[in-house]
Amino acid sequence: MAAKTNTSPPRWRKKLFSSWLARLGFVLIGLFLFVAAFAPIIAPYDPNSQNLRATYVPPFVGMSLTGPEGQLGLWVREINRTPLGEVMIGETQYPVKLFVRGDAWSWWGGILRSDFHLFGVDGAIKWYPFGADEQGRDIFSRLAYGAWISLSIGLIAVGIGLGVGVPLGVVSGYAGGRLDLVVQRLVDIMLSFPGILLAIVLVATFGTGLTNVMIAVGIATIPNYARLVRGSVLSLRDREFVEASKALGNNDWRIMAQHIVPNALSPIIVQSSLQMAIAILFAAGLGFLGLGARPPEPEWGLMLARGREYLATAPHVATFPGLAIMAVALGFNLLGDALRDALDPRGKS
Amino acid sequence: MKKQFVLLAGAVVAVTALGASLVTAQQRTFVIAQGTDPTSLDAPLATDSPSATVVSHISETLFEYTADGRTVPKLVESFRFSSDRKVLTMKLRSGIKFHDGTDLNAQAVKFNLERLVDPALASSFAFLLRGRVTSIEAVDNLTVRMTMPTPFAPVLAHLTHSSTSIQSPAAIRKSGATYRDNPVGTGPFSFERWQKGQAVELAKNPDYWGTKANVDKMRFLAVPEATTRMALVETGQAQVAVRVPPQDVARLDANANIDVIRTPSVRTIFLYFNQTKAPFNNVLVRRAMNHAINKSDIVNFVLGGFGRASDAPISPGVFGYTNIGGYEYNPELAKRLLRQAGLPNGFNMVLSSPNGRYLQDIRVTEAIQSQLRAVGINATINTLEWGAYLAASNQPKDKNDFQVAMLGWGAVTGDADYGLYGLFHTSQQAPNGFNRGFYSNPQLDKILDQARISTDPKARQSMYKTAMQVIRNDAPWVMLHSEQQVTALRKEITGVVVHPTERVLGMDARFR
Amino acid sequence: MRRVIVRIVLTKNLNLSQTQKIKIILKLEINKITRETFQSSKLIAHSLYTRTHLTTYIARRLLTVIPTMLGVLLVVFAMVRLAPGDPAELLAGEFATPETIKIIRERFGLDQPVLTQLGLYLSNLAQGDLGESTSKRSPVTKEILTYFPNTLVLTIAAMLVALLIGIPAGIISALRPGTIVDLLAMLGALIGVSMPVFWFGLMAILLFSVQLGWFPVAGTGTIGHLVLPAITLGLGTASILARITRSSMLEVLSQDFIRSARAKGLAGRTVIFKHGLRNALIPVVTVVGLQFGGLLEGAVITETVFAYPGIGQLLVGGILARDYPIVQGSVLVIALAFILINLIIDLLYGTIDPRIRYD
Repeated sequence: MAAKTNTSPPRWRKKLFSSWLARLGFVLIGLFLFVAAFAPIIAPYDPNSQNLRATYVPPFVGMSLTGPEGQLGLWVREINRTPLGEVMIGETQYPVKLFVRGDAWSWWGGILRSDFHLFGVDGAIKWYPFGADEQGRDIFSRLAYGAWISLSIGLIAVGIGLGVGVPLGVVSGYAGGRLDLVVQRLVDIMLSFPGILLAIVLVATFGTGLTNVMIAVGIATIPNYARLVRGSVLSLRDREFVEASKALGNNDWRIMAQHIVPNALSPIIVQSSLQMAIAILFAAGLGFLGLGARPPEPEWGLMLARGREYLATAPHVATFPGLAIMAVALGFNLLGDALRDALDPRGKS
Repeated sequence: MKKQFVLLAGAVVAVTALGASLVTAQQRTFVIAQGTDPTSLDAPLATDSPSATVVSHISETLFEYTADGRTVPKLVESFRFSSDRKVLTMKLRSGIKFHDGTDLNAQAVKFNLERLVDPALASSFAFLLRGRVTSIEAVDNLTVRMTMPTPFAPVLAHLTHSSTSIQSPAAIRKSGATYRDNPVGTGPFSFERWQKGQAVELAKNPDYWGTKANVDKMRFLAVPEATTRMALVETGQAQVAVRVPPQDVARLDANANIDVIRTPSVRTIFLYFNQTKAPFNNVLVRRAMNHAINKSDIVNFVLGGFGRASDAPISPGVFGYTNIGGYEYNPELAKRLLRQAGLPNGFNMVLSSPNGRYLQDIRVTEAIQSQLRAVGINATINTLEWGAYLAASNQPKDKNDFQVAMLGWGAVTGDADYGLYGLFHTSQQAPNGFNRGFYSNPQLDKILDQARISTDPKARQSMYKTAMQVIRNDAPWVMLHSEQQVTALRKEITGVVVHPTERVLGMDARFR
Repeated sequence: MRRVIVRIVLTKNLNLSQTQKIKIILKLEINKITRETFQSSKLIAHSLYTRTHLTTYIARRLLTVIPTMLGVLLVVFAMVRLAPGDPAELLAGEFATPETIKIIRERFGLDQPVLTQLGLYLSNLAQGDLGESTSKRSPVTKEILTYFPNTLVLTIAAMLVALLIGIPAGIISALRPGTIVDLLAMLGALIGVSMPVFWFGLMAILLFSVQLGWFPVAGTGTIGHLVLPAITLGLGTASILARITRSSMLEVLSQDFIRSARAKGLAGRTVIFKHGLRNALIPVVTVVGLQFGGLLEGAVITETVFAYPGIGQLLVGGILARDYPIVQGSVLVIALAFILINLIIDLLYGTIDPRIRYD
């Protein structure tokens, strides 16, 4: 929010939270960031632990709000299901408790290590809140860990777009002339490739895997930023304060860093929020075409793409990742809208 | 009045006839939903099963590999080998015509077989005959003589392969490069049209030399998405859908209009060890991993029971198969073997797997990863898209960085030679053949070489048994399972044959 | 901020096509067009066209197409060859012998040095020959002529769906801003752009084809075959159009000439449709052009879901088979279509806004 807008903070803040949709966007993104940051605590199990004897367990089955003796609380039963078999529900009820010990995990590159979980079953059974997938893995846990992956895809893809596209746009717009011409032709070429095609060709070239997906989606994003920023820079290049800075003898790099970039910031921020949504959807599309993350990575797009095979028999396998992707993309879109309204110096009431 | 009545009656008859013809035309088109569009309808260039399926309806081979595993004459009426087994003389059936009206004769056979090995055509299947046949002569109008440099026992099996189909030389000469779009053969169906990317249509050949087809038209649809393919059968827009995913079987079975049938396939799925990499150069480690993997769990729970845990490197139904006994699932034994190998704490490895090439391949790999973890082996999965995968696994020894990888192999000629030689013989190490783990055992090489030229089927059978026992002992593979083809058929159609070589055949199909 | 961009775009004589200029603005506005864009787009167009004849304008634009296409070609040409995997090996299959692979490689000229291959390709291209597909062994031109029209039909159908849903939804929203109808329409539009295409497509098949039996599951042939793929593909665009139409309409309705028209006592409907809509449509048309590109993108996935034989399937199949000529040919055609559509949109622009002159 370092943008030098003409609006005073209280006003834009007021506007930012004014609309109902903006509020929804903030809630969705806040939840998403929270889950991504604390995935192993929120997830009751390891995202990759399988049980081939509990495949396609449907969600919410065997759950009740009263215990064997009528106690209130969340109580669950053991569920087993083989691929072609009936759902088998155990007799005994086990209580779900908050703050339990379970699978050991390490997070944030090993800084956090524990076996502490936000919730879990008190008993030797596994409970699948959102059901189990085709390998008998807990979908809820996979979604929690997947939030972190989706966030990384979005951040890194947008980071690449920003990191390459912004300097390209700034230099191109500021320098003008032949350099500008060359850069713009390059950007033209990239824009003539529809984005997903560019990503497909890149992933096919450099191989599947999360890193390559992030890079491919990032590269597909570059021309958007380059164009956007160049436009803003052109508008700023001949402004009085730039002229003044030049007159003071500041060199071009300094002027670009101090005056041009900060003033071009607000469209970049807005674009980045929308681009996060696009990146996450792109990655899902690549997963669908078999060119995305590698199994058993709990990447949402991949989960959805694989879950589609079971849409007719076990729809929950695809539904939850689908809803997760939709919710996050929606959140970033709403956030983008809200930011635009807030950062727009003129705006409408 | 009378006149009017006649007119009316005439109209009624005409309308009924028209209606009936419309209805029958509608009903008599037999629709098969396949996974992909054929790549080519020119037999030597038809490399995948969808292409081979369509080609088999249009064109025929000299010999036939029947669905129950026998090799029988087809276009050939009789044949005999010379006493040194180097000359094969075949007498063709007389009176067979191609769909364009030209005759099937010895010249046509010579033309087709020579075309198959012609470098200008660059057929992937040229190896079936290249180097194995010195000359092909048309002795008289219906007699073909094939001379081989050395006896080659599986030659008849090779002549059952759809790429050796006999197609009309006149049509090939006339159409040139576009022949692939207008194939002409002798089969029970003739080519009608090909809507690229969607469907191929065939029409019944009314002048077929053998038992004529019952359905008037066949239509092969290309539908890559499994859900969509199943939906076509469920809604009756297709009568057959191939490759039913295991999880859809119960649902389709419950549908009163649909039967789900399972047919064995000659394709076996396995993991191979790259023996140039430690610790996989140690037979104890290879055996330990064989004991660590629970094949029956994979077949039952991942494949939904639609497969067969392997007990030999080739599947039953292939000539030369014997049950040599697999490795039993025994994680304790696996751990003990690892301790013996000096790896009591297990090790880290990379498990390479295709994704979407074989039935549920990636799910099988994930299950294996989880089973290996139980004995202390920490496997990271490496999936590559098929083109890259094939290239990586086919690198020569010094450049190959696969450690353990999944592959599948179909003995499509129905002979153990095809199922073993290319995979285990030292001369077939990548990039020369399909021995991609660089396995080598001179004793085995000798047996496979002998079995190839032996003339006695019984002796060959026993040689292959010995060969497979050597293989079992050396454990160059984890034998996983052979696939089963799961096919959904609507009840209104009968007589459909699902061939072990992954072709759905509609020659004898009939609407109820 | 936006005002500033606009001013510069107007004052500077840049090496930008008009579409590109508008793109700069629309990248900001893709979800929400506001006053500045609306005014600026008219102004840009005006300033551009006033100095140029239509024909010279088109000629100049077409000239820039050639270097761009050449660049696209070079990038694809290099990238497909950088990718691991060998077309000859894939064609030869699992059972390939090195001899077979060598023969196939020679057959398709893949044994030649890359620059020779490029030279040959370019000289063939100059004669309108896109080469021979390695996996299908047929002329690429023929393959593209088979597949591309299908994609074009699907794209146009999807655009129709988008227009039929998006514009009315946008107008209704704009006429009742701030109401629950508006909120729901706009939330719906956001969900529309946030939903993974293939998920929606598969759900649609299960619901409308399998459960209800209303439409055929897959393939082509009748209008019915087009319905589900067109809706699946067009939904995202419909959402974007709804939002743009809404903001553009709001803009126009608040303008003086509408107010004065209303003040003169013209009936509401006449005002909205005769004056408002026509003016509000200008940015919508630009977005329609940009979205055509987006539809071509989405077609890759939609075609796979519905087994629809379009260029997207051809391209993805080509990539998987490392069929270089197919990949090169399809990308060239898609890029060319993308560029030409933008040109057409620029020209349409002048037709919709009568104030724009080409002389």
